[in-house]
Amino acid sequence: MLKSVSCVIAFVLAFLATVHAADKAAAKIGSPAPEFSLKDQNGNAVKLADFKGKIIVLEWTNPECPFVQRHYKAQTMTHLAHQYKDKGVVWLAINSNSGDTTAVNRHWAEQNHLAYPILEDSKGVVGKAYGAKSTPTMAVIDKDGKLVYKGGIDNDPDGDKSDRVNYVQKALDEILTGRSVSEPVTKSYGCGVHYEG
Amino acid sequence: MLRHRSWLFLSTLLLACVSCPAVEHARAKMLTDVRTVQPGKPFTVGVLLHIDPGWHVYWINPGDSGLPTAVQFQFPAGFDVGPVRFPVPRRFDLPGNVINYGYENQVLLTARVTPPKDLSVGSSIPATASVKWLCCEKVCIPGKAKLQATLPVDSRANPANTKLFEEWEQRLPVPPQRDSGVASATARLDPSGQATVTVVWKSAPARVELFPFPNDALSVKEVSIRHDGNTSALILRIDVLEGQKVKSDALPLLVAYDRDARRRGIEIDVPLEALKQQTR
Repeated sequence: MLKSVSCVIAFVLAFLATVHAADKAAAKIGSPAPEFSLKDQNGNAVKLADFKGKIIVLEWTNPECPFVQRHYKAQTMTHLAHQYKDKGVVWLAINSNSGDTTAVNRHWAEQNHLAYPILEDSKGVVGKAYGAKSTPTMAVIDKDGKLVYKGGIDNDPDGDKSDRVNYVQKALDEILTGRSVSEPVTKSYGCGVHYEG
Repeated sequence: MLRHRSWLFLSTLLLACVSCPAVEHARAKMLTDVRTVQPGKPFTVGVLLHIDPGWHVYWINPGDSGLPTAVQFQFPAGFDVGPVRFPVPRRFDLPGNVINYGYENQVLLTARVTPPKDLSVGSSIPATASVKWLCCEKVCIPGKAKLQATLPVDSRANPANTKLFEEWEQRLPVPPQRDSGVASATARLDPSGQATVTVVWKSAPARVELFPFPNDALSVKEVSIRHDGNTSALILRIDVLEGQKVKSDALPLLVAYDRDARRRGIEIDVPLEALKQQTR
């Protein structure tokens, strides 16, 4: 009797150990984008609610990641942010890596002459709320505050496609012309976000 | 005239590294399981990656981040080069539910090559291996190498690196019917997106793990792995990413396990018909 009980316990423990923990909190397409309040590189508090009624792009970034570095060298994000600023699109970069301080973000902002804020999320709360697992990962929020895009910046991990599709640009163009986002979810590529262990 | 076998051996392994930028944490070598090429006789070519402790490179599906390791072998016209084979990877679980699939310490990525029958003994075969990877620890560093080798043609068999190639060959996933440790393996997907893979083993192995192959249109989440005697039931959720279309007929899955202290794997296809019918 005892042997079969311990077998059952072992079985249950093994079962629990291998069940993959679901991303419970991760925001879903079509649902309200999770609220947040984070500090930018100058110590100013930035809330998602500050931009109610606007189209918002969230960019998960990591100064040490070669994919992010390649995009910043090519000005992928900065160019896009500038291009759509006049169309009322707000661009916010978020750094969810544990250990990356406001000073790290400030240095990156200065190096790249960023016109948009980098928000410090070293506790990883906002990254986890949006299910960001790699950098760069992008999210687009529509004027009604709904998450309408989540995924990669483009379909070109190696940076050598001649027919590259920039998913964020495509989503923004669709939203701005009153259409729904045709590819709401794509796979991101990049370096893993380093959450607190 | 080259008489000594050791000289022949060295010359076959002559690696001319054409473009190897300062690679800090992984190094690549091109190897073959033969010292010479026999006309018409298949052999195996491989790239051996040595990875610094604490760092890793990625499987064909890197998981939540990373970049798949990519290898291309080039031989002269007439040589039939098969697909690159990836050994069973390991799983890296990182904080925040970030999961990666890849390799640490060492990995040999191989392809089978069949030479043409009309090769002249004494001639030399030039071969190239181009490899690209992303090597990560706390940071990620991309790397690449272009390696060259020259293989003489001989009428006799001259094996090389036998033990190394055999070890890594055993770590390649095989169809269930080719695995002597498997009695049966089936996979089904119901319209709700729940996939069940049932493997009946001849004797229950250790450390059963699941690795989905890559698919841009699908989100694949492991739900549970249960064992009951000699049977393992692996349950997954497969969902079509919104706005994406299912283009393939099946999603291959790698079921890895330990047998006789070695890591092995079987490759099973989950038919995607049930999902395709949904998105019509």
